[in-house]
Amino acid sequence: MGGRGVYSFSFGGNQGSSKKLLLDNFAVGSLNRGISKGTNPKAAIERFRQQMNTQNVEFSGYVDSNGYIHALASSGSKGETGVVDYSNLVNEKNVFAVAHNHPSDKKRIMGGSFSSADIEFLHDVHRDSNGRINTMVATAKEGTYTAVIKKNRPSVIRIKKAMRNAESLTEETRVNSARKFWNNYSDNVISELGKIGITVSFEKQDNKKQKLVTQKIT
Amino acid sequence: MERTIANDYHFQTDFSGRKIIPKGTFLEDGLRVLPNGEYLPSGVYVDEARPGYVFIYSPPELDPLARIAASLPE
Repeated sequence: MGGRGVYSFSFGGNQGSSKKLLLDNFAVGSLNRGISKGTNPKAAIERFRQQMNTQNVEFSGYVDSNGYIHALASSGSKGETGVVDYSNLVNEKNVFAVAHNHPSDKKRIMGGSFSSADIEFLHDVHRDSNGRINTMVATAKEGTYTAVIKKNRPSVIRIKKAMRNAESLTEETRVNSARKFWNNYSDNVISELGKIGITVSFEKQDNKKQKLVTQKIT
Repeated sequence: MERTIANDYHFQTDFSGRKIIPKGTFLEDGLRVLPNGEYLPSGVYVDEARPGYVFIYSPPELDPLARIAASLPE
């Protein structure tokens, strides 16, 4: 395992994924800053959120139960999240969550809740990790969205159906502001995924920002 | 150019059953376009050109909700 304060990145997998990551993984740098004073998963996710609040593209990282961030990655493109394949983290025994950020901009005033693709990814990583990773986090300037597979993993078909229901319910509801629209979508995601055994929650938080300091690993 | 979303595209899959982004897919105005000229749909993909990664692809331009929200006042 690499030093936690630097890379916190291990190559232990042998499940078909190449061990040679070509691009777009970063030293976790400032994401694990200050951990000598003590940390926990909630603090790690809040560090991630505040530092990603300064970014206009999506990043991802794995979070462990001790409060460390691992395997920071980004595709560098808007509209997509690059995530290090779980097969590269099998030696990180305590990872339980994947965090990523939902940027906002002039066109989109809130980061918003999970997309269907986010939850499909949670399904895949839960399967690939034999249930060890059961949590997906989306951070945004308005707060933190968390999805947890509590027990049995629903199929992708059920996930897609639930998310389509959430989208349809949101489209059908007339509201007079984008903020109400996204809040309504968040409520519908909570309700529809709850019906298939995925617990989604939202914690409202201030739009705090911290500088992200990292470097690309070449 | 008006493009459709390739909702019925038959993707090859990897050993885990994840969809593989086909060779020849290119970027156009920030969106991925498949070799057949249709937009790559939102979803979870692997890209053989970038091994070791999984991509959660969900651009707002392909999201009807984002279009509705963009039409509303803040």
